[in-house]
Amino acid sequence: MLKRERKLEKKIAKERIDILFKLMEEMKDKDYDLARRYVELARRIAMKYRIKIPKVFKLKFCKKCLYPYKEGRFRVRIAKSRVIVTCLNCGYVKRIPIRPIRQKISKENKKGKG
Amino acid sequence: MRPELVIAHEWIGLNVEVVKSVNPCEVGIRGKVVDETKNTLKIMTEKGLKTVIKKGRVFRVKFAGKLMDVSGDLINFRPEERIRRGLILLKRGKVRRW
Repeated sequence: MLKRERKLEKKIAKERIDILFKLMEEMKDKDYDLARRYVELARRIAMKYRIKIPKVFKLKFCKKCLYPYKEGRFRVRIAKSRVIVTCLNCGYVKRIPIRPIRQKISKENKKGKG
Repeated sequence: MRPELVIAHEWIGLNVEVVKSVNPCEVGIRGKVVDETKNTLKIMTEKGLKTVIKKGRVFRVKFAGKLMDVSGDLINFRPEERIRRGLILLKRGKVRRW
């Protein structure tokens, strides 16, 4: 039985995902369905070799229908301290919370209050 | 990057040319790969979109700065499966080293 080279596999998979998302950006305006196909392929590679799709790329397509977000096909609103992204192809709503930066309470302050 | 890793790497976006084929009409098809399935490559040429079967064909590609002829039988897998299978083929020494 041959041993699999998992490190090399993962490295190649990462590079391929990068390439596919770059091509998706170019293809988005020319052929929308083909751009979706690239997202699908990238996701399949990520699942098969168990690597995460980088957060930068994750924000660029709809989780449900896999169509990339394109001008006029999605809506962004800010409400109740969260960003609400609606996909106009399938209607899926993605909510990204915006958290305020927490101020650190020093120990002395805590003691004083208690 | 090692040039023999083409069989495991992404083919979409590469410029290819069909060098050998069972079907004489397919020889000379040149263009950019736009899509890939288990058995076919979809090539965008000047005359339009062409679908070429991988099995039994030889493709000329430029990868990592080297021009080489790759047999279609080596890449006759699903695109996501090619990473694993391609590396196994390389390990077994089924691929000619460039």
